[in-house]
Amino acid sequence: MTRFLGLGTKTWAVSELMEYIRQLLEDDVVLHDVWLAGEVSNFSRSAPGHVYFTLKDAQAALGCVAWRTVAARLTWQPALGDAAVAHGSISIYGARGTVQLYIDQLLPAGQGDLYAQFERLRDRLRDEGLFDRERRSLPEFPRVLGIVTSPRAAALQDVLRTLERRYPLARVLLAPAMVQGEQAPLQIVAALRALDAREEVDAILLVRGGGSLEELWAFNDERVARAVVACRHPVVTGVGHETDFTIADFVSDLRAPTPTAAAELSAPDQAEIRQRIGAWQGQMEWRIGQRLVEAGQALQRQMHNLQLASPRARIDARRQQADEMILRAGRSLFHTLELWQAGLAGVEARLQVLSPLATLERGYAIVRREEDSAIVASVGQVSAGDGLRVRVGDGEFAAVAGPSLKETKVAQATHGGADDAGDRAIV
Amino acid sequence: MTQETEPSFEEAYRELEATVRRMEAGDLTLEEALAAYEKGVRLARRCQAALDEAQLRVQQLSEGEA
Repeated sequence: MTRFLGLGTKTWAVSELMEYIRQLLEDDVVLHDVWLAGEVSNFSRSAPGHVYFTLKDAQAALGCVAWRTVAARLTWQPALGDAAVAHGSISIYGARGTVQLYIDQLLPAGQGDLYAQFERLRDRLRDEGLFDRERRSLPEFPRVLGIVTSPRAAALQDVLRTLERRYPLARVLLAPAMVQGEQAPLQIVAALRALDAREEVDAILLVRGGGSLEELWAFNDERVARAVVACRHPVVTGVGHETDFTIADFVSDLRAPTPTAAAELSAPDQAEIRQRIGAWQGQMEWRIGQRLVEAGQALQRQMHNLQLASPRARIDARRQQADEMILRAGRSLFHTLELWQAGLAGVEARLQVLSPLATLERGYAIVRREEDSAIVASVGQVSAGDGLRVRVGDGEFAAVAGPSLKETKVAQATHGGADDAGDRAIV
Repeated sequence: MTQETEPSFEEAYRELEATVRRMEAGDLTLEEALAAYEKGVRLARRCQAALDEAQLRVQQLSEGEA
């Protein structure tokens, strides 16, 4: 097959093939994350600061590279022949066609053991369920915050400064403990217990500034981890830098990337509180203003209604009614009067008919005695010389009685006849 | 002692929060709303004063305790 070029095979350029191999290596999951133990040889540092060395055992050797940025972080400078553990990823150096380990961590073999320990403990505690346990929640407004750290550490100052700025209402209880060295784990455990025993503590901050794996080792101690879990108050961890994860971080109730962040996560920010209170004040003012405007409008409506319902209105209405009634009564009275007047006229007419005046107009006369106005109906009532008053149709005149004539027949005739009354008038 | 302001801050804050919520619900009579408003203003002032006066207090546990 190899003789027939062009049938499913190709001729590679060297760099092209190198690139292909690099891709293969870099895509490999295992080679991406390698812990490699070996003996250090050929250790050198280049002018720009990159570090090159070889790790080897009895049968094989592999070139290792630590770029400047990684090299600067290395806390350990190996000597020739030291047993070391390196962590990194495998790739190929094209210019020489050599496979290399590009490292991000280099530790003495003993510390390599530390890592192994770390991983074993981590896995064991995780399998035990300590990482998944229900987390205790932090109060929104902590009154007392316990802090476990070294009293001389910068981490403590970071935490206190942050709390002072954000939430000076808090009271801080510092339980001092060494945070590195052999005694550190037991001191940390004691400090945690001392704080946790206090009823008033709302949360415990377990903090330490950045350091090497060894320096942070106390926070990977199983006793510390179990003490954190055993606390009834919530524990916030802030150990090292963002990239450092310790066992204490895995089991704590809240993991903060740094001590400062631990303080920030443990207490509210007064700036936000003030802002919220200010917003609430505005809200309340707006609400009450709205209510007052509404109430004012309702009041106006009510006043209007009141005016409508007011007795004054009723009085006015009644007064009008009364006026109308008076007017009507007046009119009806007038009508009655008219009726009466009409009736009177009729009565008058009839009276006219009945009146003796009509008789007088026909020539009769009424004679009264002067002295007592008595009507003279008999001769005997009058003596000669008596003054008389004679009423005729259109008036009255005075007369004097003469001697009695005793013509009773005539007088009787006067009573009986109707025609000659004029002749019989007594003059 | 300032220790008294600690619980009272949270209490005042919570009460303020509840008062605002009550006013927002809008089912108060005018008298109740006015009373709630006055109370809210008082609580807000108390909260702010508590923050203004607060100073972080740090106490170290004695050797025997830690």
